[in-house]
Amino acid sequence: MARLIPGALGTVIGRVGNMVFYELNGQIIGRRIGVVDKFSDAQLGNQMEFGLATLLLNPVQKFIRAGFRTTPKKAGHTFHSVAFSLNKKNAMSGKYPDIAIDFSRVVFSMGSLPLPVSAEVKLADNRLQFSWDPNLENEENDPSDQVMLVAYFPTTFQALTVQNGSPRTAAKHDILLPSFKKKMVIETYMAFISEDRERVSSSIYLGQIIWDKQ
Amino acid sequence: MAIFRKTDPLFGDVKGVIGPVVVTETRGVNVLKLRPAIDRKARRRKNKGKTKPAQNLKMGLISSFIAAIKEYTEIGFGKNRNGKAEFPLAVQYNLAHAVAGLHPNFSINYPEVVISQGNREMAWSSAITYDDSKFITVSWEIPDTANIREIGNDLAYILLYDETIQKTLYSGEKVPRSALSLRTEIYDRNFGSIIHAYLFFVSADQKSRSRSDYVGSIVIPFPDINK
Repeated sequence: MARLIPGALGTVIGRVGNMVFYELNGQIIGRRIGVVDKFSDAQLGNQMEFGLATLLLNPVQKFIRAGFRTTPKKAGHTFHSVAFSLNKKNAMSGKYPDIAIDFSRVVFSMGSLPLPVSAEVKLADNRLQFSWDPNLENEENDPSDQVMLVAYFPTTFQALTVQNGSPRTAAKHDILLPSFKKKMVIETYMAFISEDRERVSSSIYLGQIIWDKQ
Repeated sequence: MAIFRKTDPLFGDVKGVIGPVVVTETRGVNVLKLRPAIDRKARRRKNKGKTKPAQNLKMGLISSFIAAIKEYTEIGFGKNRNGKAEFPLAVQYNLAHAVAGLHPNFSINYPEVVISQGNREMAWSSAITYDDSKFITVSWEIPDTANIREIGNDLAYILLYDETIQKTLYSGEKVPRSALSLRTEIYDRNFGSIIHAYLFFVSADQKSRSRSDYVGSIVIPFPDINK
């Protein structure tokens, strides 16, 4: 993708089809793109992180749409580019070829509402039971705020998401799990969103749940 | 064949292949001649009995498998952003991820095969069962958190592949995601075979699709003739 830099005649920087334009010694150079037949470990690591971040965010599109809608962003950036950038930079651990997602550092929403207090999750029968302290003493919190939840399945890269869950005052929300036939690892997250969808809290990691009731 | 002098200022001291032309020295004379045609029959005779290179074996294995299921991969890998054809895309992915074993004993790693790629909600808790009345049932679930109005009308594409005879059990029948199962009859030729099942969903407007899910495999027993 090339960028058009504003000016009297405009300047194209970047790639258009098989042509690439760049600045060299004060001149704008255009040439045909070369063929890359070998990547360094750093490049391969970047590609792997890119792939993992894509797999991470694909099943939670609706959640991050709400979670990053009001987050300040650069011109031209979207909710997805903010979420992608944050998680690619901060939630990857290890060096190529052993790069993995550090789920404790994954962020699915970011905003100015206070973080959930005393939040926890437990597995009961086939349900994930989320609970929290409404913490209405904090004036930033509103009784009509709604909980947002993510149950992420890293082995299959699938997720169950709740964007408009129980109100803050309910202090609990359950997610009924599908009927699994093999052991499943579940990473869980919680955030709050205001009733008018204009304010959101950052998401917090609640921990890993192992489902193993074959 | 052309002959040129070594002192020729145009060619200088060139030797070797330039496109379709070969520059060589024959009995002290520099000559240009056309590259000889490849004798494929002779090459085959020469390589007879030798094991093919690993890449050739893998490519043959995956290509013939994808060719057998192309009704599905044409949908599952279709309308991609980069405009590439569906068949090579499906071959490329599965060549990289779904081949098991060491040279020359390669085999298809069926659970790793992908027949569709996309961002739509995947199948949850899919399962395959067989009942004695010659029917296979593939089932799946829709989680409570999903928006049934949004995804309920998706069409379910179910691939049943007979590993033993290397053919699909193509019924052509499609059901909406909200049906939660599809029951399909097997043929007599499938008795004693291993059947692998894959499942993916395509939106009603055909604009988006899910990644395929490997449902599992099942062995079809021969019918009990004493019954």
